[in-house]
Amino acid sequence: MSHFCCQPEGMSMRALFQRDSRLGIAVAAPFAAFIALFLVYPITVVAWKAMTPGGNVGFDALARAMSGTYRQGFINSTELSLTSAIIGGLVGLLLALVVSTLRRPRWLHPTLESWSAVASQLGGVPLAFAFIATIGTQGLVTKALAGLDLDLRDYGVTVTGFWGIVVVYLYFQIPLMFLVMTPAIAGLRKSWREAAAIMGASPARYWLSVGGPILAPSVLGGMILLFINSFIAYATVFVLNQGGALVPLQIRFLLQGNVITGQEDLGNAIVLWVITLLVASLFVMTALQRRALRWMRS
Amino acid sequence: MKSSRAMSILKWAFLVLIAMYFAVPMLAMARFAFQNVPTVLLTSDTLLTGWSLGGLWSALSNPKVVSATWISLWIAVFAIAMNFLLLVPLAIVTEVRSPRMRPVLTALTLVPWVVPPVALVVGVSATFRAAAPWFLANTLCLVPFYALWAMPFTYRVLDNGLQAMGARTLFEAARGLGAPLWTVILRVIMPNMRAALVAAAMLTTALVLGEYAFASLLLKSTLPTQMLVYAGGDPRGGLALALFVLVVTAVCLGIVVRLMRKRGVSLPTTGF
Amino acid sequence: MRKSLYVVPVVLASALLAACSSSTSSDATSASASASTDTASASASTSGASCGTTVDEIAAAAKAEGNVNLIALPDSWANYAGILKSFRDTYGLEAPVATPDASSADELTAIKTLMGQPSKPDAIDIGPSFIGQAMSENLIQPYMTTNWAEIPDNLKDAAGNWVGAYYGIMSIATNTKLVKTAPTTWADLKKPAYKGMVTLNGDPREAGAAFAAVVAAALANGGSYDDIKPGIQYFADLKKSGNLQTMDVTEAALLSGDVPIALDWSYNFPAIQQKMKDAGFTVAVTIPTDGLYGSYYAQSVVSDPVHPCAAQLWLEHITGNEGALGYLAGGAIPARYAALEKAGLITADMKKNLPTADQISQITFPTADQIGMMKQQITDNWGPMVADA
Repeated sequence: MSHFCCQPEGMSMRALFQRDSRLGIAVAAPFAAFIALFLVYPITVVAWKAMTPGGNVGFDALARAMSGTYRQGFINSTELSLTSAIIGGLVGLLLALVVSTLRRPRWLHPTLESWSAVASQLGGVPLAFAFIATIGTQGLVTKALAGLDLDLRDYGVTVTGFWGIVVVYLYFQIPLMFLVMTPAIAGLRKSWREAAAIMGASPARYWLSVGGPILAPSVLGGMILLFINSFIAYATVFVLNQGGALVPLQIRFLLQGNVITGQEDLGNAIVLWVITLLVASLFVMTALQRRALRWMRS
Repeated sequence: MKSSRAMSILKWAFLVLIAMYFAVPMLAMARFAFQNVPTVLLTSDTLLTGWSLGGLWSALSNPKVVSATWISLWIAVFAIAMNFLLLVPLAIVTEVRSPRMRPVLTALTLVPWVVPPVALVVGVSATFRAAAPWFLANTLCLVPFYALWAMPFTYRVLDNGLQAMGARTLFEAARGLGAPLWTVILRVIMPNMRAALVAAAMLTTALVLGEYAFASLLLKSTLPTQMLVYAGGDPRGGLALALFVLVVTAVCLGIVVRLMRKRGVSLPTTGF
Repeated sequence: MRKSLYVVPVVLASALLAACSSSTSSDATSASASASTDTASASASTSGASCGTTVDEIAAAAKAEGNVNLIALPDSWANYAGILKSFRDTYGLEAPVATPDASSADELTAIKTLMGQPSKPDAIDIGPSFIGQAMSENLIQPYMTTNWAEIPDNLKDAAGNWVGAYYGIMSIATNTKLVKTAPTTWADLKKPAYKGMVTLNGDPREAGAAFAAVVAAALANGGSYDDIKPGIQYFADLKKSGNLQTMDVTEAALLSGDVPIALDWSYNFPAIQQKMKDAGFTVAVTIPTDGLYGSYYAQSVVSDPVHPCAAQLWLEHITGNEGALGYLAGGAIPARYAALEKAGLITADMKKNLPTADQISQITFPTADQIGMMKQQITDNWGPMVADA
């Protein structure tokens, strides 16, 4: 297909080319300026300040941001995000698989897709309230379990503790994974399944050699997405455990200036680490996505 | 036969469990918010007593909540407008003239995803607060930043919409028939983009109604931040308000999904 | 070729902006720093004179300004609901309170964040451990109220930077519907029966009430105003045994029963007794016998305020008779208690929410140096020992 699709009568190729690139710049320049001013500019300043603590270039602030109580913050955030990503990922995957095999009732698949689209965007303050009402000290589920002589606190599940927050995060992690996996599973051709059966493969063997590897990039990519989603979540955990040792809360704490003088650059350093983490994840997810698309297109 | 029956039962049991996990917190929240019963007495016996919407009305009539809601809605409107102004021409030009730019643009519009609100607020504090404090004085300063975070899914929705309608073919056909550029865009492309535009607008609204970190750390009074402040003084009303906002957001997103499915457009999950 | 067309200008523009901003921001901050010291010294010399020498004059000037921005004054905190109502009714100012549940650290952050904006707080109410920070960062300016002489020396700053309009004692409040036997001492709180119940009012690094709880616990465990490490260790143990929960003590949390045992000022509970009864709970407030710590909160006019005269009026109101009686009704001891008693304004009925005279007599305030050292100990140790554990 020619790049210059249609030449209006009477216009030379050269004129068309000039008009095109001017058009391109006219359309793209405001966009580029917008991103430069509101995104690139603040982050460049943050990165610069993170790498020049106290005015001299050095990695001192970056190192301090990864030590002591902030290191613990990164570890806690990573643990929390990994846990909710893996559990949410597996449950979401299972949900997508189960729903894909059920033909009846007809409304199941569309309803679940709608619900997932909605639930994956939910979060923040209302979600925290909802779970305080459910598994908090006066929560309805807590009371119901007390009637059965079960105390969640004995199992370490409190709404403000680690497992409580994991349970809350799963509320949007599971639907997000479902949304990611549904198109990938739909891409698993029936013909492959039948071909494998003809060649004598059991269902387990099919999943091991065919279905699994094809779905693997999507599953991995989905879990990374869930990990990042959980890592940067702020509002929910702010309501539940404001002083907790998690990276977003520590950023807020540093923004308040609650540090010993001389450590003001810590906030910038932590942000730089977080952004690096996200950029790396984006690269991995994009690579995995390309891999997954290969099979979906064929 | 038996094993497939057992499998079927297992599958449905699993689905029921999942459904309960998603329904129970909402029901619990509804009980806390709308039952005029002391929380200690909220047991299975009191399931039907004292239901009233009083908490919600008092929350919705609180002046601070009302002004915060208006501000949030205006921010959403302006953010949507800003995004459309920046991205619609870009998406049309890419689809019609330079398809090779598509991966570049998809990547560029994904960049805001890499800088979440909690991180960008540090940058904004360090730069705008010192260089241009008048900018941060107005709550509407949130508009460009919310537009930024809406960009990843806005661009993808617009792009999907353009591809689904076959914008290129339509464009060439219209131009071939001699229509001037503006006519093509306004009377051929845009009407077919209605679904994508509405979907992007709803997704942006959901974002604005749910974003807490950036607004609260810049001490702005938007609906999410005011909701938490209100809940501190009136717990029952605060919960009612939260449930109300949740339902409204769900309805908006439900509209999005229906629109998208009608047009055969898939829903973008950011980054994937 | 096309792609680089887009990338190059973006990179160039951002680099240019970054270079400009680092120079302009340093210029801006140094310029604003010198400007603020100028205005601080200017207003210090003219603060009292510019608004009036009597409360009526100040009130007139305040009315001309139209409003006063207040922050972090919850309704149930030492009866601020009543004090705000009397202020609004007497002077006709709307006096909005932003973010009532904010901590002392949040208040200082608000001043810095909202610098140059019309919603900047005009007066603040912070814990004593934040006074040093407020002064060193030039966030407050001196103002001596018209009744300055009647305020005891240990409840005001000699240079007029702050006044402690009220004080109270750190107490243990128990929801007796949820907790059968209420704890009465700090040692009691360690019992396994109170697992998951003990709650601090915030983070000690950010909130004055939580800071005071740590100091009180330190006094109960062999510490002193010179060393509150035992208090930090106490809470580390509580967290380890699972007795300490991380929710904040807010009115909502108390009313929903999510906070069975709260460590908070004794004057924070009289106001919600009725609401708790409506919610089906009863609250028992005890002052622990093994560690008694009483402290004040410091009120100041913010530096470079948006409504300077109204801010002064607010300070006049809370240190004046109406404010003092308001605090009394809430269960806090007002600064000018002795003066009010001499004037015969205090009836026996008004004292019902106060701690006993014996308990009040045991209160001693730490010095500014001791507070600074305690704050340093908390900043250094609370994170590693308690928050992250």
